[in-house]
Amino acid sequence: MNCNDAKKLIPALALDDIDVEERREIDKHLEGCAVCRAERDALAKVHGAVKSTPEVETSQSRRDAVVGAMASARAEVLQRAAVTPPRWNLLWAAAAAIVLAITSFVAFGPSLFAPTYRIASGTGVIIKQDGTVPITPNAVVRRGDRIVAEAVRLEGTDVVIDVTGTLSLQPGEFLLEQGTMTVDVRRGEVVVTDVSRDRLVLRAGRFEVRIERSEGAVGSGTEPVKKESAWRLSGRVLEGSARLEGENGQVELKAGEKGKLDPRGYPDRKKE
Amino acid sequence: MVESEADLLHRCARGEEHAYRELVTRLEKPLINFIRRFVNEASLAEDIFQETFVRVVRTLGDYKPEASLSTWIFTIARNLCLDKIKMTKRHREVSMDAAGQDGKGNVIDFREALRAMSPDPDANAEISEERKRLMAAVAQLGPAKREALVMRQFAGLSYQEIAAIVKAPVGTVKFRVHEAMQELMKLMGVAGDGRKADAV
Repeated sequence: MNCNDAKKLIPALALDDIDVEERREIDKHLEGCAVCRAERDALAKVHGAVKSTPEVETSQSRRDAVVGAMASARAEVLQRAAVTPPRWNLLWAAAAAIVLAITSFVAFGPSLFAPTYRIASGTGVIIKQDGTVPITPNAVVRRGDRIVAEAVRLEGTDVVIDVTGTLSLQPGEFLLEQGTMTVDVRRGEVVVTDVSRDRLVLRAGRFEVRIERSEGAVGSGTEPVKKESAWRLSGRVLEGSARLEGENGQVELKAGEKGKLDPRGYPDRKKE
Repeated sequence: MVESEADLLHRCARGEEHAYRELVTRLEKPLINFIRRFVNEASLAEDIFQETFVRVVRTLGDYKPEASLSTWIFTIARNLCLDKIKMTKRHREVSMDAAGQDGKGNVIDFREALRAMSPDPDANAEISEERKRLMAAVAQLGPAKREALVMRQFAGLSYQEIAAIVKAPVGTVKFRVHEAMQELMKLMGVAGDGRKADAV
């Protein structure tokens, strides 16, 4: 190893980011090189100064202030539902919309104008890429939008959804972050998922889907059995059929059955 | 039993104050240390810390479970820090030349300028000269090296965690930390030839 090689490794040596073989080689070099030893010592001093810098203390008052700010932020999001939308100069807005519609139709074709879903009724907010808007009748909701709803009815071509809670419209599926939803599937399949990546595949029919606390006994072999609980996706089939998928299995559900997952993601099916 | 991140996230999405508190408590120590050492200003660090969690509430729907919750939150904090640093830099450009001049032709001493930039007078009164120089030197590192160094050395994150936050390979992150250490050595005037310009 020469000095150039050693210089590259000296910071790693100072920070103890070095493997055994490299350490052996650099130690050998340092034994016979005063310049590199000086470099190592200088870096060790800088590292010592860094390590001796006291940590910023944790603080109850800081946590209180932050939790308060978080609660305010959430209230602000929800309160926007009550805010009247800004007044538009209707004539100009309508004229601009017509021009934009014609231009876009020519450029991109009719598919651009197919709304994903339309709000039939309800209260809450729609969080879009460019801001948050209150839910109003006939508002259009597209993939990627997030709905924070007290109670909202969404209508699409193949599905009608009543939701209370927070729902994100992901590509190809609905992400139920919290709350409950009633889903009426008219055609095809609808996938509801949650942040744990559990999935409920709904075929034509009517369903109730919710995030609920799931408890279960876990343990194996010599380990004692203990109870665990977790928030998990669950579903009831009122009409039709569905499939509930967890980390550790899946189960088919028929009309009159309820499915849920235990905290480890094993599915369970019950008749009602 | 420690609550899982997914479980905590569900409760935060519901607006449960206990969940907010749990989340803040879990991340307070590494996050405030990272922000504080990254922006080198106590009051600004507190503002960014708070703004980070406010953003978390506003953008919970953007969270992708592929990344850990802490990685996502560190990413938010990092972006806020970078924004603030850019804004601050616009207002306080200082020449890196030791004998530079300001707009009026006055000579600026680089080290004095560094000290003047240290914007935490109360805290600075209590800490040693050595630490002031260290923090001023850290503040002079470029953002990529600074964030890597601060996350590793002051917030205690692993190289893998840092790589996920800054979206760079682990090897690149290590290299940045090592380079940052060498730059600190120069900025603090610690000579590598066995002599010291100033004692560390």
